Amino acid sequence: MASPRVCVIGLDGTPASYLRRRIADGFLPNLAELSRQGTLMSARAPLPPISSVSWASASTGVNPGRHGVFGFVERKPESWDLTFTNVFTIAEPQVWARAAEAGMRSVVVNIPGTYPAQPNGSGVLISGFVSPTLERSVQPPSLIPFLQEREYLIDVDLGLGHKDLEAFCEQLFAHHAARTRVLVDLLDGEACDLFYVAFTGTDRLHHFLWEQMERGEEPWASRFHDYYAAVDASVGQLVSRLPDDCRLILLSDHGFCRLDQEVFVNRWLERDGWIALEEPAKSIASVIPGRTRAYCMDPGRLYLNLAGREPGGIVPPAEYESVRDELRRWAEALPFVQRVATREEAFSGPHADRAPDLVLVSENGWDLKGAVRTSDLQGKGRLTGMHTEGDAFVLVRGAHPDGEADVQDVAATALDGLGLDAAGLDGRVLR
Amino acid sequence: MSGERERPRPDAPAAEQADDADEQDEAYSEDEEAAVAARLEDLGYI
Repeated sequence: MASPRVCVIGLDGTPASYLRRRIADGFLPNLAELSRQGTLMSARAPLPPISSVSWASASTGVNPGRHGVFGFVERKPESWDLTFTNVFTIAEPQVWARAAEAGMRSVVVNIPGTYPAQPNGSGVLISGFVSPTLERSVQPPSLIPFLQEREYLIDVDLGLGHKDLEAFCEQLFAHHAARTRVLVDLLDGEACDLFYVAFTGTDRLHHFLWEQMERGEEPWASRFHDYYAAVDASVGQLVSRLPDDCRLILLSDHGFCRLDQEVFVNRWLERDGWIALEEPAKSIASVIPGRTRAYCMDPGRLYLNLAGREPGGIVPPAEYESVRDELRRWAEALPFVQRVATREEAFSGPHADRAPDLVLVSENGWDLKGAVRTSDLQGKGRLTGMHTEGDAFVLVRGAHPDGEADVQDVAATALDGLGLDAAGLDGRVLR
Repeated sequence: MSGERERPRPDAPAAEQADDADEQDEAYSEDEEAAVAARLEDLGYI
């Protein structure tokens, strides 16, 4: 019953450079064959390059200034308390919603930022990260027993990565096998026009094993490459079920590189007098507004403490530009900052007024954090890989476009494959 | 007036399917928020 006109398969965080290297070395036969059938393009993620933001772009075809997702966490309006972004944050229709409006049926599995699962026309939607319960992650809910029978897990136990890497890897492989069972059975059993799914175990693998892979440290380097062999086999299983004329799109939502240091940006701001925190600080809610001119939200989103916008804000709106310029110069002088983008440079659209005032892009190796639980400026824990804005990938079977792709091109290309209008999106159709 | 909310279009963005900011904010229950925070912390996001 594998009938989709468009199939999108995401490999969360997979770098184009890693795929090219492994394919050149004779591994990943299914991805190698697909890279002969279409150009394996390097792609760029929106800022900041994290999954909630990037998958929203890949599924809507627009930049964050239009879809409204700028991170995993936001400050609640008129409060310093944090709230978590979720499906209701996404302010533009996702590809499957556009398909449903046109009377088409979709199967959508494991796309980050889609919790709680909303009815997907007559189709299927199983939410991805961050989904705390299976019960509210599945539409229609009648599919829950189907998932439980296949031992489906939304995510691995990330805590294991911090305390028992062997157990973490074991669960990662089991989780991948279960995900593949579910995807294959859905593809075999559910007629649909659009099949839009993601493997996110790749991102978890990278976070905990990237450096070990780079150094060739065993057994972890082998575990890393073996995991990719399993991913490649799963892609092969899915692709073998697709009609030849199905538009097949593969992507990653951001790139990855080795993490050398985690950088706690709020502590750098504190060192230089931009922010004051009540100690022991637990979150940005510990800020002392009367002594704070700027603060950071994860990963490198800088905001002024603006009067009339932030509670107790002290930067007068008339001084917005001058203080932001001062903050930008301060940030550009930091040793780990590669560039600084203003809100206007990075975002456009009706939600750009909620965007960070500045976005920091770090040098590879320096992972920017908004956390304030440590008083250190920087450090290193168990995470050994970090996201990058560049070095994501997009591959469209049968297409050989020029230049670099953008993650948001995926939605435009998918809509075009369904015969729907992609005009007006920020993404371009990759042919 | 029936008091029922108008049914959103099938292609309406999810944001429009929530009545207001409060509903968006209640996407996660209190218990769920703790679980979400723990997962985000495990990946270093908070």
